[in-house]
Parts: sequence; structure tokens; C-alpha cells
Amino acid sequence: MKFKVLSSLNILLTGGVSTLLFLGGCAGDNTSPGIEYAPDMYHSVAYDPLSQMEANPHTKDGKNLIEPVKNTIARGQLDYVYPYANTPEDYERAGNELKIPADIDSSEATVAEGKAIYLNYCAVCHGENGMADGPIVAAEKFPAPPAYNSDRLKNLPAGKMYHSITYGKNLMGSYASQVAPKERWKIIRYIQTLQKQ
Amino acid sequence: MKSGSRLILLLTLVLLGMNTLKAADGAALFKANCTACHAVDKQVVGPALKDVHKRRDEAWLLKFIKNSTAVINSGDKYAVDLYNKYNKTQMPAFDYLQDEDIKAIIGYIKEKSEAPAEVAAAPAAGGDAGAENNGGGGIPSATLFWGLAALTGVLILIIFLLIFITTLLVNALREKEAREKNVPTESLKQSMNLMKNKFVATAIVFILVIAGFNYTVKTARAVGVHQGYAPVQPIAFSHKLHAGTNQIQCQTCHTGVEKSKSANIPSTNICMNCHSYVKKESPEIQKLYKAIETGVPVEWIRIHNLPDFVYFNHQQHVKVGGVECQECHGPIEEMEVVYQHSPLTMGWCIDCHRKKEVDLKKNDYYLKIHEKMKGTEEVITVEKLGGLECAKCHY
Repeated sequence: MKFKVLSSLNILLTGGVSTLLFLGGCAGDNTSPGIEYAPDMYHSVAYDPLSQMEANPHTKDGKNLIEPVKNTIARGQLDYVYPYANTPEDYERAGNELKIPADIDSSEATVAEGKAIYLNYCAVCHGENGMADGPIVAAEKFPAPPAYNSDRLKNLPAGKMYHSITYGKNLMGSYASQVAPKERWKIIRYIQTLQKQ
Repeated sequence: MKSGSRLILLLTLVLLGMNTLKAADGAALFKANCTACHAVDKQVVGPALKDVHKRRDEAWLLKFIKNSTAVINSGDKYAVDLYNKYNKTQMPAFDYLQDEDIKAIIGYIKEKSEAPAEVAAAPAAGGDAGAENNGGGGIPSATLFWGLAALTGVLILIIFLLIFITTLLVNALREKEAREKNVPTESLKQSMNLMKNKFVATAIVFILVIAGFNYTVKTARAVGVHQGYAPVQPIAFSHKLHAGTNQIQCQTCHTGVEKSKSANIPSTNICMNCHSYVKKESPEIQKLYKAIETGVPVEWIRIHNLPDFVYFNHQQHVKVGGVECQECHGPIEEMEVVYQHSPLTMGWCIDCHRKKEVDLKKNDYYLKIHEKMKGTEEVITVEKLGGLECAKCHY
């Protein structure tokens, strides 16, 4: 009789173990990436700017992502140099002096390109047709900007628009880091069609 | 008498109607001209305009709104103080507005100032929404999972307990039968051991083998595959709110997606384009402010990671190929917490390259290859353009 009880306990024990195994097989802790075989092949050995496992010993702040050296310009990015300061005087000056570069023409193709960029960055507030009816403004989560065809903006020169995209204006922040200079001019070509509507 | 009172009623109604019309006009004018810098109940770029009609008289307001620079230059003390207080930011001249327009705007501000209930209700409503957001998910998925796991465990244990009890009972019954029939106990014990070996032992081995197989296969298949990975991020950012409810385009923040290999994690200045105004007081947004003030960046946890030995480029897929973000990343606009939707295994890549048709016609990138392939193939997939070559991704 003693032997029998023991073996029954064995059944219980093995049952418990197999239960655990069953659960282990379908365990899903989704806050962990799971098992990795040879992790050094998954995580870049080279210093990847957007992925970092430990502090970088070669940079001052330990970040892989390095800011450009001050007062330097990358090749082909001379148009990032903007000679006007973020002041009301230079806003006026930019309006008078700054002209759209010759290679950004007012052709339909350029306007269409401008519209595509505009839809990505501007339309969420300014609205698809520049009537200040973007989804965020319509939901009253962000205050309305003036419409492009309003008395205040319908004659706004291109230079002032470029200045505003670069530095921001009133409640609008700067879009210099998101939109490249050429893209800014293309957006302006599209906005000019909205001013006339 | 009756008709007289009716006339008065009618007149009042007309007047009331006119009044609301005026206020509505004021609201539209306020939105079109003022909200870029002003709000009624909070300071934005310029001062909060609540009770402005009590602070200054109408004539001064008219003059200031039409040409604030002239008022400041005339040495008006109040105007100069205001100008200095707001970092010498000049309010543009609204000289194109008629006196009636400005009066309508002032009327609107007056109406808003005198409606305190709405202001008090707003934060309460916000709080409710927040609470709803927190509780909206019901039981957290981790708790649910472990609860179910415990329940399954208990059930399986009960099964084994039942087997245990049955074996005991069967044993007792047999012993009793043996005693009654006077069969020698030795042989009975032997046969019982055999029974145990045959049924119970086989069952145990069978279960163990299945469980082991299940565990091994699942674990082996999941090595290096992060599908479903949803780490807890340092800021409880909701894609459901931003991309879903607010309909912000993916590219608005992930600016690199059409221009480079990576879609980019937005830097804090991109957050600040809205959050310098929106929900500044929220503890989650305050983490952004802290990151900017201290210069210690927000350490977002990367979810989608391809091994170092495979090359992937977002620009090629999104800009050239015209693939929608959701085709790989899943319904991001519905995700409160982002998880990895696709397995990102090689089989998954290859599968899409085999099936995906390439639109050669509207795309300058494929001009040359289109000329070459004209008329040779019915359907041109990525595979036919060399999308299955090893060196396409591994080099």
C-alpha cells in the first residue's frame, strides 16, 4: 500500500511538471523581445544612430547620434544657410528680399509635389485646402490659424512664408528640422494656389 | 393689447437673434484673426483676453487692434508696459478690420468671459476622459494571461487528482475482490504493477512528449522573432490618439520615412510643435519638458529591429514602392501601445516580394527597367525585378 501511494504522488509530480511545460510553451510576456540566438548579430556592432544598447565611449555625452559640428555645412546643403534672424525686422526683410529659387517653378508638377508635402506636414492644422479646418483645429484641440485666402494672408509674399516655416510664427513651431529648404519652396508654390482661391 | 405684447415679443426675438448672430460672427472673426496668438482663458503668445473689455475701454481697444505699433510709439503707458512684458512681441496691425468686426470680436470675448461654467467644466471633462483612458483597457493583458494560466494549472491538477483517486479506488476494489475470491495476493500485486505500467505510465510519457515537443518547437520558432513585442515606453505615448483620433499623418513626425533608410524617432522639437500649447500640464508631457531642460534625451525602446546582416530601406519601400505604413506595421492608428505586428522574418519579406506587383508606369524610378521588360511579362512583381537576389538585402 505504501508503494502505491508513493507512485500516485509521482503521478501528481509529473503532472505538475508537464503543466508547467505546457504553459511554458505558450507563455507570452510581450514586454520582452524573447530569446535571441547570437544577439551580436541582431544588434549593430557598428554605432547605429537610432539603436543603442550601451553608452558610446567615443562621444562626450555617450550618444551615438552626433549633432553636426557648429558652423559647418554638409555637402549639397548650402541652402540650409539662412541669412535672416528670427526678428520682426528680418521677417519684413525676408518678405521683401527673398524670392523663390528659379528651379522651383510654378508648374503643375511642382504644385502637386508641394501639395503632397503640405498634406504630410501642414494639413493637420491648416486643412487640405488651407481653410484652417484641419482635423486638429476642427476638433478644437489646437487654435485655428488664419486661412490662406483671408484678407490677412492672401497677399503674403513668399519670403515671409519661408521665414515662417523656418522659424515658426505665433503658435506655429519651426518646421526647419522636418522640411528641407527645397521642400519649403514647393509647399509655398502650393500655398500660393490656395491664396488665390 | 394682445397684439402689442406680441409685437414686443417679436421684437425681442429679433433682437435676440441679431445678438446671437453678432456673437457667432465674433466667434468666426476671433478664430480667423486672433487664435493664432490669443486665447480667452489662457496666455498663449499674447495675453489671455478674459475681461479685456473691463480692463480697457472700447476706443483704446479699437485703436490698439488696428495699429498697436502706433499706440506703443505714442508713449501710451499701458501699451508700452504690455509690449515690454511680452518680450517686445509686436501684434500685427489689423487695419483691414472694420469697427463693427472688432466690436463683434470684443462682444465674443465678453460673452466667453462671462461664461465661467464652461471653464470649470473643461478640466473636469478632461479628468474624466483621462480616467476612462486608464480604465478603458479593462483588465491588463498580463494579469489576464497569468490568471488564465493559473486556472489551467488548477484544472490539470484536478485531472491528476481524479486519476489518483480512481487508481486508489480501483486498487481497493481489486483487493476486496481478490480477498473474496481467495486469489493469492502476490499475483494480484504483480498484475497491478503491470496495469500501472501499461496505462498510467504510457499516459504520462505521452503527455510529457507532447508538452516537450510543443515547448521545443514554439521556443525554437520564436528565437529572434519579436512579433507581438510591446515594451513599456518611457512616455505613455498613444498612437491611437495621435494617428487615429487626431488624424496626424505618420510622416508629420516620422520625417525620415520618405527620405532615408530609417523612419526616425521624432525629436522633442517635433513634439513641441504642438505640445508647447497642448496639454502642457500632463505629467507625461512634462517628461518632454524635462528632457529639453536637462538635455537628457528620452530613451525610447526600439521595437522593430532587423538583424545587422540584412539591409532594409524605408525610402525604397514607401517613396518608390508606394507601400502603406500599415502594410508592415499593422493598424498603428488603433494601437494604444505599439507592438510589432509583422514577424519581420526572411520568409515574410520574401513572401511579399513574390506577391507584390510593381507599378512601373507611374514611377520614374522604373523607367529603364520598364523599357526593357515591356511585353515580356504579364504581371511584374518585385521578384521579377530581382527582389529575391541574396545580395539585394545581404551584403
